[in-house]
Amino acid sequence: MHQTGSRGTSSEPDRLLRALGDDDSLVSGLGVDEGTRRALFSAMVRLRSFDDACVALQREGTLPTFFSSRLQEGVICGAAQALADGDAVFPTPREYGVSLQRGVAAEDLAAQILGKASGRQAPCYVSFRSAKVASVSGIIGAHLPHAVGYAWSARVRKTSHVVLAFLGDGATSSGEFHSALNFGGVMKAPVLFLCRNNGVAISTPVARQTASETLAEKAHAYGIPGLLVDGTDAIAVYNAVRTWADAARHGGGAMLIEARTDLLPDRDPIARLERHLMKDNLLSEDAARTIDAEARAEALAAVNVAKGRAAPSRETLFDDVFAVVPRHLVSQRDHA
Amino acid sequence: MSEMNMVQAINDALRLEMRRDDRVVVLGEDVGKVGGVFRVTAGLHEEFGEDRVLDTPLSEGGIIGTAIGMALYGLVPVPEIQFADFIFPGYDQIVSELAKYRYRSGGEYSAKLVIRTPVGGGIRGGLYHSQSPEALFIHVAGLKVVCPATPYDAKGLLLASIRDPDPVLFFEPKRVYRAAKGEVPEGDYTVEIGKARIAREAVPSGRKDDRMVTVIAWGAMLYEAIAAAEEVKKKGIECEIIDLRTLWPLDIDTIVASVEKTGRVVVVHEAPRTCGFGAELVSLITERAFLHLEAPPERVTGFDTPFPYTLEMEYLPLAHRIVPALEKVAGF
Repeated sequence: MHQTGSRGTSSEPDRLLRALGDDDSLVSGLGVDEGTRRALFSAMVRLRSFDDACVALQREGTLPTFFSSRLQEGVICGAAQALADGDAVFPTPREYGVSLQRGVAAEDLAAQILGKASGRQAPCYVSFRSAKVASVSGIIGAHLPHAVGYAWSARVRKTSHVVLAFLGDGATSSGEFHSALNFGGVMKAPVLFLCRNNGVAISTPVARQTASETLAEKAHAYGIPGLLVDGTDAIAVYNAVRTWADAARHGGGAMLIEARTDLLPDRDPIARLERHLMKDNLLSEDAARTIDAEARAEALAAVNVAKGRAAPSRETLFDDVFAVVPRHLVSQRDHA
Repeated sequence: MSEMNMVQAINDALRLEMRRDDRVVVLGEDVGKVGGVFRVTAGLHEEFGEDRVLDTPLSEGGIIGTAIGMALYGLVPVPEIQFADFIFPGYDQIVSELAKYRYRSGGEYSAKLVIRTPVGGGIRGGLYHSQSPEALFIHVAGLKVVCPATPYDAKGLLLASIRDPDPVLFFEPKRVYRAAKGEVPEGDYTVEIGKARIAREAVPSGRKDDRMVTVIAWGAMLYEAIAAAEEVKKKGIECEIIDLRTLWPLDIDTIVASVEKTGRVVVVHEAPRTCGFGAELVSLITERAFLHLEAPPERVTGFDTPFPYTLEMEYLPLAHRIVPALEKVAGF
C-alpha cells in the first residue's frame, strides 16, 4: 500500500496506509477486485442517502437527536464490506448504518431510529441480532470489552468468526478502552478495534484526549499490532480490515486500526471513490446517478414506512427487564 | 448427603454445573491455578482447563465487560469479583450494560451471567474488604440479587442462578464461608430464586401478653438474628426469623404472612442504614400490612459511615444490638 509519513516501516503506526493515490488511481499491487470496489461505492451512497433522510427528520423535529455518519462512510462501509456473514459488529451510534450493509431492511433500521420498534433507545442506539450487530451503549467505550468476550467465545467455540468493534477518538480515553485492548491482547481474541479519528470528540480535539502522536501507537503497549489508515479511502480500510480478518480467522489475535478522516482537504470518501471508479471505467456518470437516485428513493420510502408504523404500546414498557415480567412489575404495569 | 461448609458447597455447585453444561465458564482475578483467594474455585482449572477457568488481568470492568461479551455469544460466564468492595470499578458494566442489555435491545439479546462475590464484614478486612453493597444493585432494574446464609442454600441457589435466564448478583457472606456448616446433597438440586425461608418459626404461646416479632435477615446476619432470638426468648419474646436468601425479586408474601402473624418486625442488615434494603422492606411492610402492625418497624443496621477496621464489631449489627430492638418493638 501507498504510505505517507516520515519514518519507520509499514508495520509502524505512524505510517498512513492508503489504497488510492493523489491521482485517484489504485496503488499498484493491490488485489481489490472490481466487484468489491463497486459494492463499496453503492454501500456508501446508500448509507449517505439514508443518513440525509434522517438528518431531514431531525431538522423537521421528528428526531430529537441523530448521529450522522456523513464523511465517515469510508470507514464504516469499508470495514463492513471486509467481514463475513457470521462475523459480529459492535458499533457506536455513529455506525448505526452498518446494519444496512449486513442485510437489515432500511425500513427496519428507520423504525428503530424513529422509536417505532421496541422504542427503548434514543435514535441510533440500534441492535440487530439477525445481522450480528450488537446493541449500542450510551456509555462511550463500554462496548469494547463485550467485543473481546464475544470474540473469545467465537474462538473457544471453534468457529472462524471474528469481531469488529468501532470506536471514536474520544473513546480511547475511556477506562474500558484500556481494559478491552489489554484483555484482547492477553486473551489473543480475534477482535479488531477500529477507531474513527475525525480529530474531535464533540468539542474536544484529539490533542486534549491524548499526548500520543497517534492513537494507533497505543496498540504497542498492549502487545497487539496498530495500524494507521486513511479513513477517507474506503478501499484502504477494506484492505486493512480484510487482511486482519483473514489472519484472525486462523488464529490471529486483536488489533487496533486508527482510521483518520480529517487529514485530506477532500474529506468526502464517496467523491473520492467515485473519481477512482470513473477513472478506471468501472462507473459511468449515468450509473452513478442511477445508484444515487435508487438509494434516495429507498431511504425516503423506508422513512415513510417507519413513520407509519405504530409506536409501542404502554404494556411493552415493562417487557424485557427480566425474561419473565416479575410480580412487582406486573403490579406497576397493571395498577399504576 | 455430606457435611460441607459454604466454600465447599459453592465449589461443588460450580463443578457440578461445569460438568453438566460446557457453556459454563469461570473467570476472574486468581480464580484459576490458585483457585481464588478464598479457594472457592479450587480444582476447577485443573479439571476444566484454561479455556473454561480463566485467570484475568486485574480489572473488574474488564472482567464483567468481557463476561458480557461471552454471554452474548453462547457462553454462560460465572465471573468472580474478588471482594464485593472491588465491584465498583465494574459497576458501570453492571448498571449500564448487563442490567439493560435485554431491555435496550428490544429483547433481541440477553447477557446472562452470574457474578459471584464475597460480601460483608467481620473478618478484619477493613474498609475495602468488608462492605455490603446489595441495595445498590437491587435499585437497578434488571438484576436479580441472591445472598445465601447456609451451605445448602448456597449450592442450590447458585445452581438455580446459573440456570436462570437473567443476570444474577450472587453475594457470598464470607464471614461464615467456613463457619456455616451443614448437610448438603451430593447431586443436583436447586433452591428456587425468589423464595425466602423461615429459619425459625414463632410459636404463639396462647397467653394474652404474648409478644412475637418477625426478624428479617440474610447472609451472615442470619446467625446474629438467631443468637438475639435465643437471648430474648428468655424474656418471653418469640421471634420468627426470615432468611430472605433472594433479595430481589423479593418474597414479599412470606414477609407479609409473618408480619400479619406477629404484628412486629425488625430488619437486620450490615449495609449502612440510609437507603439500605431495610428501608424498602419497611416501606413495603407498611404498605401491605399496616393494620397488622402493633409497633413501628425497627432497623438494626451498619452505620452511615464507611466501613471501619479497628471498630468493625461496633459497626456490625451484631446480636447485642439486635436484642434492644426486639425488646423495643415487643414492649411498644
